[in-house]
Amino acid sequence: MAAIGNNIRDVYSLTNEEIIGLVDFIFPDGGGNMETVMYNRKAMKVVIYRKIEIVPSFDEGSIFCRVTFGFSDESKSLVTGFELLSNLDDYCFTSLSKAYIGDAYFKKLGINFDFSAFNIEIRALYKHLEDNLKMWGDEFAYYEQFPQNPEMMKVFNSKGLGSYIVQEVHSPVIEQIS
Amino acid sequence: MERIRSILTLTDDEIISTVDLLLKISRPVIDGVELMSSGDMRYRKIEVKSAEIVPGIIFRISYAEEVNSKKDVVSFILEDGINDIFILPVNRARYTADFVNPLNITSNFAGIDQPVREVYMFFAENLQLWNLSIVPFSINNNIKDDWYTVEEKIIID
Repeated sequence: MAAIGNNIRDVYSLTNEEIIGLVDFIFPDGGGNMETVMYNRKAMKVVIYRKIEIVPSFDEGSIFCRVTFGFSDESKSLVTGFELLSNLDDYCFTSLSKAYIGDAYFKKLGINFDFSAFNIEIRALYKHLEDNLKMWGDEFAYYEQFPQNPEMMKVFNSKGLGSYIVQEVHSPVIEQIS
Repeated sequence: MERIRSILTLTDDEIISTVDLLLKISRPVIDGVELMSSGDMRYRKIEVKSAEIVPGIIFRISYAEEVNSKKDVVSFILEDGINDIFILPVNRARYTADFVNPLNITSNFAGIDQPVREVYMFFAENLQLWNLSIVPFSINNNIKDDWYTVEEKIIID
């Protein structure tokens, strides 16, 4: 059981659809926000591929979400990610940057882009967690209302740095998402 | 479209309390190495100026475990959005070297995890960013194009 408060939801209970929704919120337009937040980089044209994976975290009550984007004009994929960590009665939402997880783990995860370069509106993020994902509740043992995601738990209960693919889509499916 | 109070109207005291919040569970790290927690800080200097590249304030916080020891520096920007705000780490992943280097940053703000609800509630309830009905907020005239020292102090238990 994750180390969480009674009145918040276990991050391990997020469904695959909810994880996809969270990624859609963070990367609107199927990842089309990337070019607008990067300095001194050429615009990355069209996103033609997206893969969302959940990777076990080294923290209890935490998930790493790794997102891979492929672009129409780039041979190299962009791999980025974030952590959603339950912290008593709150959640920390943090970029999987070298500064946060260290250079070695950053490389082990295969991440090549620091997610902290993105703009995340603080109220919108809170509202997404509160309204869409129902991460906070008033009832005692609120977390018991949400069963754990079996795919997530299977990966977390296995040893090693496995992961499971929540979604893998190629264009034109991405366009339907955005 | 909903309007919010501009970051540029934060008072000096509110700027200090914002730093208190965002560095409260401070885990400034470089390449995964934890440097110190806020509880270990004995020196802190908070400087601000207009962010210039975006509407908002850039913060530079110098801190040290000992008053006379080498200072670490962390920086972030609070940016006004249309009906929201952004907390943007100042680091080389995000900004050019020309922008970052003069700040002499040693710690990446992106390495400091922030509790989502607590941070939102602070801005919503303590700073009343989304409540324009209480008092008319005026621009903090201390926030200009040059650095302004809001606080410099030795922290004693």
